[in-house]
Amino acid sequence: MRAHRITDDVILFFLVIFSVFAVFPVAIALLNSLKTNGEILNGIMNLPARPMWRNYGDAFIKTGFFGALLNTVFIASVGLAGIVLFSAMAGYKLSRTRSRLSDILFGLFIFSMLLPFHSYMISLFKVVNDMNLKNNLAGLGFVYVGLGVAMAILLYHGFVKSIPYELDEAAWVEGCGDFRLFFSIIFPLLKPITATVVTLNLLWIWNDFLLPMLVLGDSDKYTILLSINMLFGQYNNNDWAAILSSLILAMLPVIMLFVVLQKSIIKGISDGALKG
Amino acid sequence: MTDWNVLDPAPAFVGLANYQEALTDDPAFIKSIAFTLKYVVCMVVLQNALALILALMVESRKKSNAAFRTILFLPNMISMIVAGFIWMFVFTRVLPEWGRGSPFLSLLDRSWIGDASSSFWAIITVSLWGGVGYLMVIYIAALQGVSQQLKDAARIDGAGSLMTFRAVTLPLIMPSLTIGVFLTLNGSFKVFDVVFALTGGGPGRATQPIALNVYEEAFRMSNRYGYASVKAFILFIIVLAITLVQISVMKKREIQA
Repeated sequence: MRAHRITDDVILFFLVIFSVFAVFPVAIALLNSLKTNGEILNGIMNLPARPMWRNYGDAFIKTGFFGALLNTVFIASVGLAGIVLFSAMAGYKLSRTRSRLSDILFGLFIFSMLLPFHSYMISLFKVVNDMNLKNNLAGLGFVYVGLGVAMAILLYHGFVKSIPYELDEAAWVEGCGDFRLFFSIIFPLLKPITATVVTLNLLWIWNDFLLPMLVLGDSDKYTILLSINMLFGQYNNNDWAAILSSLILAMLPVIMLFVVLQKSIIKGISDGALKG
Repeated sequence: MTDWNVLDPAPAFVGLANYQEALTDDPAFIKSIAFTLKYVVCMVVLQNALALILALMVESRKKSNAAFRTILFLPNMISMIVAGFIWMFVFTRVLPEWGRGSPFLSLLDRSWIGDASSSFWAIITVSLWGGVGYLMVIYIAALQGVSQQLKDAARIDGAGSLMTFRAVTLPLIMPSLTIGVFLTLNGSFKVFDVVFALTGGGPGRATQPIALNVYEEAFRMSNRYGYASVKAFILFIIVLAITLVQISVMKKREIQA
C-alpha cells in the first residue's frame, strides 16, 4: 500500500511538471504582453510596474483584429455549412445504397484523404485563380467544403449504419419524399455526429494558415493568423510588447471556444479517430 | 511533367526531366527530404510514446484526471503559427536570459534558432508541445475502453502493473496505436506551420521540410509550378508508400478482444 502511494506521488510530480511545460509559454507571453519593451529587456520574469493594457488596444488596431475575426468567422461558417449539408446527404445516401458504384465513390472519398495538401496545393491554387475565387472569402469557404467533405462523409457513413433502415421504410409507406425523409427524420438523428464533424472542421479551418495565405492577398481579407503573420514580419521580431499582445489576442477566441465546448471537442477528437 | 511557370501561358512537355532534376540536381530538395524523414521519425516515436505515457498517468489519477487532461490538451487548441511565434520569444529571449542569470543553466544561453542542430530540436519541442495533447486524448479514450475485469483478472493471476500493461492493456489498445502512428506520420510529413513561424526553414535551408521547399519553389523563388508540382508529387508518393506499409504492418499486430 505504501509503495502504491509513492508511485502515485511520482506520477503526480511528473504530471505537474508536464502541465507547467504546457502552460508556461502562454503564461510567459501573457506576462510580458503587459510590459513595455524596456521592461521586457530588463527581466523576463519581473512583474510589470503597471500593466500596459494599452498594448492590447494597440494590437487590436494594428492587426485589424475585428475585421480579421469577422473574416475568419465568415470563412468558417461557409465552410462548415457546406461540409455538414453535403456530407450528411452524401454519407446517408452512400451508406444506404448497396451497389458497386456507391462503394467506388465512397472509396474515392477515402482515398482523397490520403493526399497531402502540399501535393495538390499548386493545382488548387491554379483552379482557384481560374475561377476568380482569389481574394474571395466565400470562395475560400467553398474550397474548405471541397477539402473537408471526405472525412465528414466517412464519419456520417459510419453513423448512418446505426440508424435502423425500418425508419426510412416507414416514412416511405407514409408517403414521405426522399428530401423530407432526410431533412425531417434522418438529419435530426445525425446530431451527435454532426457535432463531431463541426468541432473537428472548425478547429481545422480556424487554425489553417497556408491555404488562406495562398488565396487571400488583400490585407482587409486577412484571417487572424494572416494578420498576425504580417505583423510579425513588420516588426522584425523586436517589438515584442506589440507582438505578444497580438498573439494573446489571437489565442483568445480558441481558448474561449475550448472553455465552452471542451467536452464536445475532446469527444469529437476521440470519436473522430477511433470510429473513423 | 511540363516546364509550366507563372509567366509562360503555354507549358511545354518536358517528360521526366523535372523528376531527374529534383532527385539528382537539387541539393536543397534532397536536404529537405532528409530533414523531413528525420523529423518524422522523431515525431512518430516521441509523440506517441509521450502521449501514451501521459494518457496512462492521467488515467491513474482518480480525482484530478479531468483537470490534467484539460491542461495538457490546451496547447493543441492553439494554432502552430501562433505557437511558433510564442516559442520564438521563449527561445530567443527567455531561455538565454535564464542561461545568463545562473551558471548552472548557462547551457540555455545560446542561439536556439540560429544553429542547425538546436533549431531542429527547437522545432521538435514546439511540435510535441502542440501535438501531444491530441494523441493523449485519443489514447485516454482507448484506455477507458479496456475493461476493468480483464485487468483485475490479470492481477489475481499475479501480474504486476507493468505485466498487466504489457499483456492486457497494450494489446487491447493496439488499434488506437495504429491510428495514432498513422496520424503522426501523416501530419509530420506535412509539417509546415511550425517551421514557417519558428525558423522559416533557416538557418539557411537547414530546417526546411519538403512542404516548405515546395511552397518556396512555387510561390516565392522561381515560380516554376511544373517543377514544384513534381516535388509535391514525390512527397505524395513517399507519404502514400510509408502509410500503406505502416497500416498493413500494424493491422497484422492487432488482435480481437
